Amino acid sequence: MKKDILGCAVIVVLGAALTVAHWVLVVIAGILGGYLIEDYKKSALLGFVGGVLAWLLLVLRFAGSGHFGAVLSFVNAVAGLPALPLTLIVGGILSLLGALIGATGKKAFVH
Amino acid sequence: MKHKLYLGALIALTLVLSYAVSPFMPYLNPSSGLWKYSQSVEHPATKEITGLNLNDDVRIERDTNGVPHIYAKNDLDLFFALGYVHAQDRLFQIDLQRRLPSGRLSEIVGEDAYESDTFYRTLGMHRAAEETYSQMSQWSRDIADAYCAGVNQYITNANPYPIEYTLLQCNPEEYTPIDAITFGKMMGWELSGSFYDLEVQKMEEALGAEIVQELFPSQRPVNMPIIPGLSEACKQILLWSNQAIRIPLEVGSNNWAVSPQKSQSGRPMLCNDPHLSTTLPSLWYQVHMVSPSYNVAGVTLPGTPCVLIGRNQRIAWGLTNTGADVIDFYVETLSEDGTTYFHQGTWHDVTQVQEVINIKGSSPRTLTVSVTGHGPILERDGKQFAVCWTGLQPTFEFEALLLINKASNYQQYEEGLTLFSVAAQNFVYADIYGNIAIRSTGRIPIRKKGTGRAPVDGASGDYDWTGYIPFEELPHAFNPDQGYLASANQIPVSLGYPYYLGFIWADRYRAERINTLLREKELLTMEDMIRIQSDIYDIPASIITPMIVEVITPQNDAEEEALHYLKTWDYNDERTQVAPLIYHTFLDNFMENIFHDEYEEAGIPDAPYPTTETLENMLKACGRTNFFDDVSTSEVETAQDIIQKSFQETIEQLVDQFTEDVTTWSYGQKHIFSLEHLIGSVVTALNYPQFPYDGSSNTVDVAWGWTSKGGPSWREIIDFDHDLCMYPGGQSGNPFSRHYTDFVELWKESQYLPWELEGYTTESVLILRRG
Repeated sequence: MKKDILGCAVIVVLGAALTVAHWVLVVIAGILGGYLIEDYKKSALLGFVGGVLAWLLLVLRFAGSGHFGAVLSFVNAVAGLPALPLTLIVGGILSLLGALIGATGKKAFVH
Repeated sequence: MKHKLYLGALIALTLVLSYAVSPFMPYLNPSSGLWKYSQSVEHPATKEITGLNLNDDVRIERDTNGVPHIYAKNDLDLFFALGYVHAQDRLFQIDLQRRLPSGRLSEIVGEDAYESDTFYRTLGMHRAAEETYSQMSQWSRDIADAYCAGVNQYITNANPYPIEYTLLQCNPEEYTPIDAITFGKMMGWELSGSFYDLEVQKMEEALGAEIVQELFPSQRPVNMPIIPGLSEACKQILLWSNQAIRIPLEVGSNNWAVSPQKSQSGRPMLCNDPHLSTTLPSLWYQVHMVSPSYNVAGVTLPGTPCVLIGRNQRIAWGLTNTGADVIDFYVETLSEDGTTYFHQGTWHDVTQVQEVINIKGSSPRTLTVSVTGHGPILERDGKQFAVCWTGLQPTFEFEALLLINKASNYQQYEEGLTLFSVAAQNFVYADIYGNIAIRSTGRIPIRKKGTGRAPVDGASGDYDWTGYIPFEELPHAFNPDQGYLASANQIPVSLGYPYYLGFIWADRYRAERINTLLREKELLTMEDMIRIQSDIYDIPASIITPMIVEVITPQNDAEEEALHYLKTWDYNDERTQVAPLIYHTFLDNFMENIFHDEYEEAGIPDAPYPTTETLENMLKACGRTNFFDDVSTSEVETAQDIIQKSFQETIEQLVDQFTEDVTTWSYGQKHIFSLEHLIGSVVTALNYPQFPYDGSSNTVDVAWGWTSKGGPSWREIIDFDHDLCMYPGGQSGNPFSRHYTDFVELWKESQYLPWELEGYTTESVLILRRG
């Protein structure tokens, strides 16, 4: 349980921090989180949730500006899809894959 | 082993997914994507920027409309601040507008803009801009430098750059005086760089010169085509020029001035509404600038350091396009290797310029441009046309406008006008001393021979330009007895005028209507000025409609009803009325039915149709033209037959498009106005929703076509007391700012904002502090 919470926290905090440098680095946060969590199913679940939360945190920085609704509508129009859920799902899946890589890597090379 | 296989598969899957989403991540990235534009988009209530390369501090107050009022203690700081506020509100527009005429759009757009870039690189406005800059007076160069320093200061400070940069995945570059001058030349090009000469050549070869003269009457007697066999080359160059992306401009305008004797208030009045394309952000940016030498207000073109239309404390001015023919095409005789050209019995060296075009996503390409004494060569179908355009020489419009901006009387204003060369404009003037004036300005060529209406032989030298119409002899008037002056792109002179000006003029209708309205009242008021600027009375409709309703025999209820609407119409092109919908749809069909058969037969189906005024003349003298006959049938049709056919087609089309119930139709269902962002064809979310609109191409309040993308792009009414102004759009280029489109609702109802230079409410203050 402790490992799971720690792994998820790593994904959220490190995921958000690394994404500022480059979005694909959320995978690295996922790998570290998955390495700590170990269990496949939990890695997948917490990896996804952690990735979503990490990117949500970043987007929420802008939500209080008063223009967020307008920007959201604009991005939706440009993307042709609900952009915010799409963004969060992308973050979640990348982190999920990272977490599975982390968990699998640990099994393959450590155990 | 199993785990290693899984690991490999997961890594591969991650790589594939990352690659798949990577094109979208610049926009969706939660850290640096479009979300960041939710940060504050309005200017803060107070802000200071320190450490700037200024001589003194500058105070910029923005009023509730987002209009900056700049207060500087010297001129150079004033123009630095102008550059800064232009960039703050319109950086992407400035950047795009300089890239286009410099042939540098491919750098940010890629291959799609390559043909456009080759066209502009060949034309060489940027080369002419370099020459202009090197010959400008030192004081105007200093101002241009200061202005660009202001733009570049903002580029250094900006975070983030405007949203368009994220959408196009590029960054702004340093802005230079050459860029500013090149953009100024681009505006001149859009207003005067017509390729109509090539259309004329095509039509004359296909239809014969006399018929073209009938359709497009010239001020001078018709010339037979001088060089046959150019049609295909003309067609290909026209195609190339059409591939050149343009700053969309629909050219036309109204301006007039009323003397104190004809004004109820005893003050002169000046009105101007330049009819240009109405983009988002607007072509115009409103400012008020104050320094020891300047106290000027009006509209600027972002990217250039002067007020183009406006007023200062003593004088006011406004512009319409003169429409003079200032471009000719010379068919050059080149040596086999293309290094020399023949002119007046001698071979001369062709100047060859290497232009390197950088293309996003591709390697750079080098273009070799050949230039003769007439101008750069456009080559197609083995024919070489040198383009001779007044704007390809050094010209000093910035200097002219800067002098006008600070002129305090008519004499100083005219000193500025003498320097205004491209594009030729009709400047209308009024001052606080009660004077009114109008003058056509600009370089208008005098030709040795001919009119340059179609391409001419370049080798003989017989058609070369020998000079320009002297400034004193350009059409002008000062304080006329009638008490007013007006222009609306009509031919500005009578037949006795000794110089040839050109052949493309607006129909007389707008000018006639403005003159009628100005004449009909003894004393005019500001309310009259508003009424005239928003007038939608359609003069040609009032002439043509009675002629057509007389001969139409309705065949069904819908036609009967439609005819009734035409017979009872007041000839106002009002969005709520039925009749203008029927009339304008009829007019389209009528033109098509009159001309398309002859054009098709002559192999020029896409050639332009004549104007409504020509149609009016043809209807009035229908026995003198054969165009009414449909040459694709064995019968000989009359005007009456074509009117009947066009009317039936019109009602069928409108029933199909709307309902059978004619009473439910309205002009505004089909006649709409479009305000598109500069990249709105790609990112439609940046556009303003289309809306029904009044007017037509021949009304004072103008709108072109069924989906109009142009009209009164700026309206000013000045009486030096309670001035009014308005333009469609808003001050900000940021689509999330309330100043992006805050003027549109007022503009479309022909309402105005008070134009306040003092006593305005300040919304934000920016202090630029010297370092």
